[in-house]
Amino acid sequence: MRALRFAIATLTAVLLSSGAERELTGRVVDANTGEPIARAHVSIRFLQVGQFVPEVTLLSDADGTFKVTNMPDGQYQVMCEKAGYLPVNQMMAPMPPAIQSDDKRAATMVMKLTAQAAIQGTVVDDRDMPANAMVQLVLQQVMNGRRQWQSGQATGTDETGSFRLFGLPTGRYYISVSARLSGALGTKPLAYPPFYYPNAADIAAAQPLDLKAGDEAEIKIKLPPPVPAYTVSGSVATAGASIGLTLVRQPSTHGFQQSAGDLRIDEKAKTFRFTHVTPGVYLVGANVWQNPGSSGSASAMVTVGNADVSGIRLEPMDISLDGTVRTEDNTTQRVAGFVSVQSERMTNGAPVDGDGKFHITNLQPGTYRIVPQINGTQTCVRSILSGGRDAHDGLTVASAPPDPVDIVLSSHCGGVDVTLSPSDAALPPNLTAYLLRKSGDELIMERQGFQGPRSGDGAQHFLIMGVAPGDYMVYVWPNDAPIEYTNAEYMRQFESYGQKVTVSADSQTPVTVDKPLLLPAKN
Amino acid sequence: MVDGANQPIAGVALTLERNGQDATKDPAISDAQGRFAFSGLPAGDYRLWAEGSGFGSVPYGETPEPGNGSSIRVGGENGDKSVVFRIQPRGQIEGVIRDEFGDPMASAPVFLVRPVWREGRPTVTVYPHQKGTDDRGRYRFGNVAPGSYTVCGGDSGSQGLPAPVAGPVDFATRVDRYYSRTCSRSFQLSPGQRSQIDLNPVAVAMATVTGHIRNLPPQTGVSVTLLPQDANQPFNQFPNAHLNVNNQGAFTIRAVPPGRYILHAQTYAVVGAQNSLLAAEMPLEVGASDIDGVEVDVGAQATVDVAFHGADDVQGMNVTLRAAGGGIRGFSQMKDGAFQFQGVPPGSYRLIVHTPDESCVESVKLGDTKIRGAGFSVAGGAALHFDVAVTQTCGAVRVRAVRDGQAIPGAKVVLLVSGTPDDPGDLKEDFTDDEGEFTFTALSPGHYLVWAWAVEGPGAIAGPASLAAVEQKAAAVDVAAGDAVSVDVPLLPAEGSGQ
Repeated sequence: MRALRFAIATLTAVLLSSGAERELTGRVVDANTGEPIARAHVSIRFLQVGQFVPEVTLLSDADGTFKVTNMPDGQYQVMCEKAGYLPVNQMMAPMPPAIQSDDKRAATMVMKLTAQAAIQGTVVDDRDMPANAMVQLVLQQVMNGRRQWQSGQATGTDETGSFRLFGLPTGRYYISVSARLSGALGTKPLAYPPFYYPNAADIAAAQPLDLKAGDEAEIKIKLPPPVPAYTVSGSVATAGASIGLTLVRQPSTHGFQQSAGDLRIDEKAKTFRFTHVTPGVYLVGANVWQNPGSSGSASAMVTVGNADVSGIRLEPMDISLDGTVRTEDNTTQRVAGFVSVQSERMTNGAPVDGDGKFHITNLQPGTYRIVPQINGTQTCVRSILSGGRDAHDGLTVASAPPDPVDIVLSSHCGGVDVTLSPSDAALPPNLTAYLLRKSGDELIMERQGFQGPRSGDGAQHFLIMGVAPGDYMVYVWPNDAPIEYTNAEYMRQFESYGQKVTVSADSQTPVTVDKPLLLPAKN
Repeated sequence: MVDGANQPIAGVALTLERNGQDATKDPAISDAQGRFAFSGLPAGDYRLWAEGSGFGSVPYGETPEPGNGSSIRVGGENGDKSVVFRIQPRGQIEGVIRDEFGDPMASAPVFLVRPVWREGRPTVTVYPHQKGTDDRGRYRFGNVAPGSYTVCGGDSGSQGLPAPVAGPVDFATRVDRYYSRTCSRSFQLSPGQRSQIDLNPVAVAMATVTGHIRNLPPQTGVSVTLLPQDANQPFNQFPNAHLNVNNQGAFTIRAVPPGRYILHAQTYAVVGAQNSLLAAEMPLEVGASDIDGVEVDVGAQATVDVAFHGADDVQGMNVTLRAAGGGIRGFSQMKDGAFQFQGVPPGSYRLIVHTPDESCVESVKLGDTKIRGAGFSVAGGAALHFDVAVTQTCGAVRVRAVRDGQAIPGAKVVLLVSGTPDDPGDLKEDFTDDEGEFTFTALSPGHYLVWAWAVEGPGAIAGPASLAAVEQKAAAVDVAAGDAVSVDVPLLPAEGSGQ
């Protein structure tokens, strides 16, 4: 921070003395109507030690414009906020240095603010009394090419049962309500089962709210009567000082791990007790932390019928994955990088040390894809083996540490030179080329290539380096597009957008993609 | 269970606690007549909580200090105990926060403060917790106990709310402005009342403080903090100042709101294999204009050692240094069984010692001088050594707060442990139980002053402006080793509050 701040101070001084003037001008408009937005808060944040620190906040004028003069060099972000709109920020690259004393450089930007959507309403119990509830938005999003449930905003009701969720972008929202019984009712073995708006016990039967910019939805939620509830209790075999427990209803459709019931942990006796659990199937999970820095986890499935469940014993262990990364010729050439493992539920990883070894801790049972991220583009993965078995497409981790992983890198990689055919249509700015390969029923994203130069005929180029020899499909789509590329069935509809390519060692394969895959705009 | 009009409240869940733990397996539920009972209780002091719709969770004998209530004494000569748990109807406080242009301020922090009396003076406390405005600038507190409140908001403890500047801005000559904390006037919320309180926070210009840290060791990091000293700041966090210190010790703190501060600089010197803490402090009053040339010397630090005698081990002992200008300093490390404070800046201090319940402090000596409760000064470079003698033969004082000969439950009781009313050292504070009594334990033999006043109901006051102002109204009591003495303490009259 110190060095950067001093650089700024020095540069400013130079600029002032040379008479140069940097200006930042802009305009804040409504993204949908194009109307100017007055009195929006425009704040400029400078990058300092990895984070942006606000330096100036100014108001847009009646015509939506704003202007800052004598801007110093540096990397900065412009944030724009206005009550009732979604905030936006734009990263600005450093402006070029001053060249001569009468040089006047300016950066101009248009900040487009989209009106927020909001949901407000009340939650009442079956007797129309205000309910003490947590209202949680749930939405589907595509992450890493996979459609998943994600938790959105959540809020509690106030003592009148009212709630308001605001600052919502356009989207399709499901509403999950978890209510608690209070007072005398809270002391009885009763609880509310899972509930989704408008009146479903299951998210599949729930009705979403489709919200557009500026929408204000008003809803009334009436809970069903509470049902008999039971306790789930057991013990955790650990010497660890700190225990965390969750009880998650299955199938766990939501991306969030919302725990059911009311939990009490006896840290001394290492026992736990969830009360107010409604019938259903649950995954009870324990995480323990012990000094110094080691941890472990364990889980078990429990079915709650019409009786208490007791005597669950969880034996947490630290499942870790050891491995090595080496080159195919076993040279002592240092391999620097990071190895990450990704499952549907978690991503974890560790750096590769000077001897090419890595150690990834605290894994939970599941199937992981092993992704080496090795510095330099001239290497690709030749093989990934675990205990002599192929783990390139996935490694299944049970409740014990898996066999060590041996990652062999090859320097005989190929590359793909992707050309997007010229067209008259305006192209989005963030197009990316994706190289996919088939693995069982799924497609795996092997590499991606960012936009390169445009050739004289207007064609857009993308260069993908460090590709292991093999057969692939190439697509081009905007890097924020919600494409479910892991889903082969889903991708069938876009077959005409893809192009087959066979990559050979030590060569660059040209391939032409006719058109980018652009999903129709929502709104 | 009754409401403010003495009507029974049915269906309330009541929980009994003893020593912070649930005293019974299940809560009791009040019946149609409002009656509830717990049976088979061992004798002792209990706390009772009620939970129900319309009021949330409320302690028995609720006081203006959030979560604090009266305890209930069960057993002893009185046998079974019958109490009336009265819950006044809750109110609501809501409003809109708008900026200087009349636009709603979204996500602006808002909190309620209540007048309380702590550590020898009237102050405020946040009740019950902070909220943020919604996208329309609205806030709302529900289930609020009746009483005296002030609504504050507009700024934020740690984040700060920058106030925007209108028109073109010259980056080089800009003035930082922030919304300062803005508070409503203090008002009385009656039972069941709904109060609408709007706030219009004012944007104020911030100052820049520049200065130099002298005797900064080479190759060390340094932290410079401004600790707010204004009594009405319930958060002890500094707003969004920008700090920049260079290796030569020159520092700049931008965007400092006007107010009184202690400037605290801290660094380390490497001595052999050990790091030793270096620190310096100085008071700083910031107005609207910049302050240049602040000089802080971290080379003049002192160390203070505190050794205990007469205790098997120092487990449960707590020692702090309290600076005369405010601010509490914890010890840096244990060294040869003694508590050591490193990097103590020159200034006036008081040593505050807390012992576990079964023991008490017999004497505190600085060198050969008995100094218990008195202030002392620390010179630059000094090494002070304290000897604290601890005894297990302690006394107790049972205080009965009385008005017109009648014991008053829920009254605030304050015992001066060390120091004088003019210059109080350590204080013990609590509330009388359902019988109007409270017992201060773990007192070493000596002469003590005790005060009491009502904080709720008729004659309630926020507390005296200072203990010196009410020195003549204190009850005096002498405690001998192993003794438990009783004393009646007349409540301070409302007009004697000194407010």
